[in-house]
Amino acid sequence: MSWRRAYFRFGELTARSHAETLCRHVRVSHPFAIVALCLIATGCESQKGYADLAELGSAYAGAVDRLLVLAGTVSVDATSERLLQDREIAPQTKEDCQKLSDIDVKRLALIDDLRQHVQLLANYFGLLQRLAGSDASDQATKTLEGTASSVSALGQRLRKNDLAPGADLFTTLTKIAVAGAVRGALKTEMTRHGDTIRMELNTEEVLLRALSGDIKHDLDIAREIREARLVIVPFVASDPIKNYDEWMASRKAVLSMNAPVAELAAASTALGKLREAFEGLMGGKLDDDRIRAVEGDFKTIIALTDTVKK
Amino acid sequence: MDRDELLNELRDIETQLRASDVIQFVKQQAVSLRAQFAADLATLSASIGVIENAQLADIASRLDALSGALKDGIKDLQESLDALDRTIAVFTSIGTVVGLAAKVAGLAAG
Repeated sequence: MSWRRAYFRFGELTARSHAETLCRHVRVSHPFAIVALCLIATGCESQKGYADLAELGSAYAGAVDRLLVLAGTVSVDATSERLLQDREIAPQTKEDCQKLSDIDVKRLALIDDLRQHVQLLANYFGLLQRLAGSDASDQATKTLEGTASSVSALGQRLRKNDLAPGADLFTTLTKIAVAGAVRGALKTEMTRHGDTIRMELNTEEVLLRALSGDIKHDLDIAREIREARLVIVPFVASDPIKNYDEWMASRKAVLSMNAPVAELAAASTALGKLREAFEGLMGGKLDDDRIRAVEGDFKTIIALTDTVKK
Repeated sequence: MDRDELLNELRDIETQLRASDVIQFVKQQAVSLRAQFAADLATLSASIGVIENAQLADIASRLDALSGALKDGIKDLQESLDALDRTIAVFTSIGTVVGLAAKVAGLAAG
């Protein structure tokens, strides 16, 4: 039995068991209403999974975009420190400066290109979020509520209740129809492009690992040179330190530079978890704990990029 | 040694050579030696930058290969959202028709 068939079979069994339970405990005159309620209950669950994952995907795209911007900034800063250090060792030419600057220019262009890719993925997850988190069924229900009520009231007036459905059933049916359309579209989308998204996430995992390495090295270099320039040289000089507060602030900033590096390396692990969550959803095994864990990881990345920027 | 290993090795060397004690030592050497050291150091830094850029370019090209399918996905999702809007429009129309029918029936019954 394929996972899709198994998933549908599970849905059928769940719906039937919910219906039987409800029949025992609730007195409802229209049996179809019970099946309808069950369909909503099981359907909403899977739709929520899509909505959660789509939200996560958007958060991820935001976090990676910040990392890319940070990688560019840190890279340019590290090159500036290198240039100044080289100039202290021996006189430099315009070509010497250009040699390292050209690499920065190329790096920034590449980062721009990569940001566009991440933006594309963000757009995808944004649309998925809009579709999965769509309140379309609520909108349609609200639009029809007034009509349903008047039809129901009229039915009572005409004393032909069997022909005029109650307002609740009317709105319930609308909800099912629209929610069904949403679920169908989501399922079709996952079948059609699920593998592409998985490969995209896989490739961006590699990107994050590379970025972490780049940022770590640039921070190492910038910290080493900056510490010598702003902390050690003024400290060992025979002249008195001009401004103690400034020196202390510089020292603090330099010492804090490497603090988030280890956690930055964990960013690609967070993306790995997102990919697993995505695969879990495709296999019908998405759990809330996994979603929360990845969500926390992305919040950490965003907080880290803010720390490093300062 | 693959590209990643080479990159890590070069990064380690650069970090060691740019350390303040090494730089202080070099600064005390003859001008020609200092110039040679600065040039070598710049070449080393440039080599690291080139490898890092190649790594990012490689990833970007892999993402490029996927972007067509991703754009298709975006287009499909947009179409699904549009179709959903049309579904709601149909329901609204049905609701309006049913509402009018109810009023007409009410008038007939009254």
